[in-house]
Amino acid sequence: MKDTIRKVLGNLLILTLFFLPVGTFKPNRILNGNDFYSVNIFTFEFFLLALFFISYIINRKNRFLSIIRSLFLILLPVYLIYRIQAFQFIGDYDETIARISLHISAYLTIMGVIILLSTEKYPKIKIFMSLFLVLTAFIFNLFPMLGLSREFINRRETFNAEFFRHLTLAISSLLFAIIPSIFFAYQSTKHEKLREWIMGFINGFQVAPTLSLIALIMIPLSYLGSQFPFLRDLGIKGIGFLPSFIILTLYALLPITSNTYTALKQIEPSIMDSAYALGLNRTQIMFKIQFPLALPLIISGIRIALVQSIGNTILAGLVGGGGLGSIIFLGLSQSAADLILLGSIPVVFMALTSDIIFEVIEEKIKVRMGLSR
Amino acid sequence: MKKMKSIIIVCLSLILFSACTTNIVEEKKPVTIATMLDSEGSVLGQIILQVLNANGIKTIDRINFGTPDILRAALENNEVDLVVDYTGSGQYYHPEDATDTSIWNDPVKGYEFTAELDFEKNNIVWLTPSPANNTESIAVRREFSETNNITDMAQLAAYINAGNEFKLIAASSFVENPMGLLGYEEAYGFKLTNDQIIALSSGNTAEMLKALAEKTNGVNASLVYGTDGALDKLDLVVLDDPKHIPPVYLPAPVIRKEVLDMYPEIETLLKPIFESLTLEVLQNLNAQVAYDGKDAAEVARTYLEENNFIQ
Repeated sequence: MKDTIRKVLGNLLILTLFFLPVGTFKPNRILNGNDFYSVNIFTFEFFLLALFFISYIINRKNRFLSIIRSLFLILLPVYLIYRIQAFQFIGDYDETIARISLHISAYLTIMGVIILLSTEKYPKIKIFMSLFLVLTAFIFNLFPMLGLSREFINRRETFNAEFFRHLTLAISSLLFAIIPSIFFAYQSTKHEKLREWIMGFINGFQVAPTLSLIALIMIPLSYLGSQFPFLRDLGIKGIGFLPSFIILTLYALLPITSNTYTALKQIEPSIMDSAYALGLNRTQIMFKIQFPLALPLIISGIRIALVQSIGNTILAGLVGGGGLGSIIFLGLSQSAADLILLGSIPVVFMALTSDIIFEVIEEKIKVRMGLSR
Repeated sequence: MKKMKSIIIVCLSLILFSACTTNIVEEKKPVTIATMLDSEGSVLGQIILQVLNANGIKTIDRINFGTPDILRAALENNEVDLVVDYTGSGQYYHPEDATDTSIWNDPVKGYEFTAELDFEKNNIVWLTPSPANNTESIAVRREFSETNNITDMAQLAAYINAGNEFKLIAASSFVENPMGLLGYEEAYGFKLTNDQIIALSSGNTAEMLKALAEKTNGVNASLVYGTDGALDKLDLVVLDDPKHIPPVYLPAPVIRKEVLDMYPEIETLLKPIFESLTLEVLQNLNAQVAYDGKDAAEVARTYLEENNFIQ
């Protein structure tokens, strides 16, 4: 039943190819361009699409048919993008400046493909393959007219540097948050009063807007830096890496602390009692009983913190901390939509990938501990 | 366990010690170049970067570092060494000293005033500015200008006072500034109502120009900056301002004194280049980046090579 809904939705999304614009031709970087439709670029492809829809309507259980269909779906995004960017605009324009952007139905179609692939066998591998093809084609510059490609080629080096800076900032701030959060959570399980204070403190950070926090923390940091020159030489300054790092660390505290706290509280008292009865001391109980049992939830806390951290790191771009945020804000300041996309798509990918990686780790740990399956 | 602790302590002290010694040995540090988050920041930053590199000065690239206030704070905190700033910005850096606001309308006086105060107070040196005035003006579409016969602010004021339809898009800092829109209103005798103004919290030129060129929400006038490259290409007309209300903003390299002492040649290297950057030149360079979408590094290199500033 659920599959039917997804199949219908996926097909409807691909159907938008017929009546919504697939791309925009821009004569230059700033102005909005002319939209064009699939009729402008497709000929025999309509026939293939029609066959594709018919095969869904008939819905025969045929192995050969379903293989062909999967292949069609996997190849559709990369082919569609290739054809859209190869669109020839009739009129006067400068080829070195003109660019083409994807429009709504291209995005909807790719979404539809992903939804349809998710109803098939081995969904993750197929979706990955499909997107991987697009990514490879993009990196090897097979879409030269695409606005996104133009921006990428123009600033390849900056992009690479900012990409790694983004990753470093997000991951290092997270790693820094893990030990204190577990410590906070462990202390909270022992002293109820302390828990309220800790949680209040950590929640406070979560509620305050990130940007204003970065701005606030700049004041004491620049004061420290200007009063004690040796601190400044160690890198303690109001701007750049450190303030972003501190704020991201503070943000990462909440998910890990609250998950660890819940995990530790969930352990049945009888298990603890038997551990005592067996003669284990406090340290042994902590490392041999409590933490192993709490591990899956702690990992999921780290996962949430990392995904959140990757998103929040964008703001470092405003205070000289670098990262993909600086590309996004440059795009905003120049009103260049392609540049904004160039900054934000990798962030989304980074967040999704780390989410999937941690999900796998979590599952592995659960299986090993006999908690699932 | 004890052994472990002593090892950790030795390691930590070593790290601290090494951190201290690196400070004692004064070596020639690379120059950190930072600019604002806009196309002009990219172009001017790249020009400075490439000239310094070509003359054997090591640099660290922090081009498109951040918003103007962040950039200024970074310079004051020694986070960056060399930035591009605008002479008129002195009114925000030293508000208590500038009792006579008319100096900001004079390119030479404003520059000298800011340079002097910054040198005394912050040990920051303003090098020779470019003659291009990146000031704030109001622009309209050519077709609007022709049908209504408007080429200067006085004519615009008459048009508004006649009750015609008018909508201005501008940065909120301009709208609320006595040397901005408020100054215009007083000098030319008109008054815009709140629903005649779209105020953006950021001074995002490209967005304003786009709104004006595409008539978004009925916008028919926009705040523009003098060196913006798209003015010509989008077919816009900048309205004359005979009373010179907004301050003069000349882009200039601004450097910390300590760094300039280390590399005194920077001053003479950048002087002829910035003097060559007239309004037309800068507009052209900016247009190549913002409008054509070319790489700023390449635009800068072509300009420097064509004019024999680097080989």
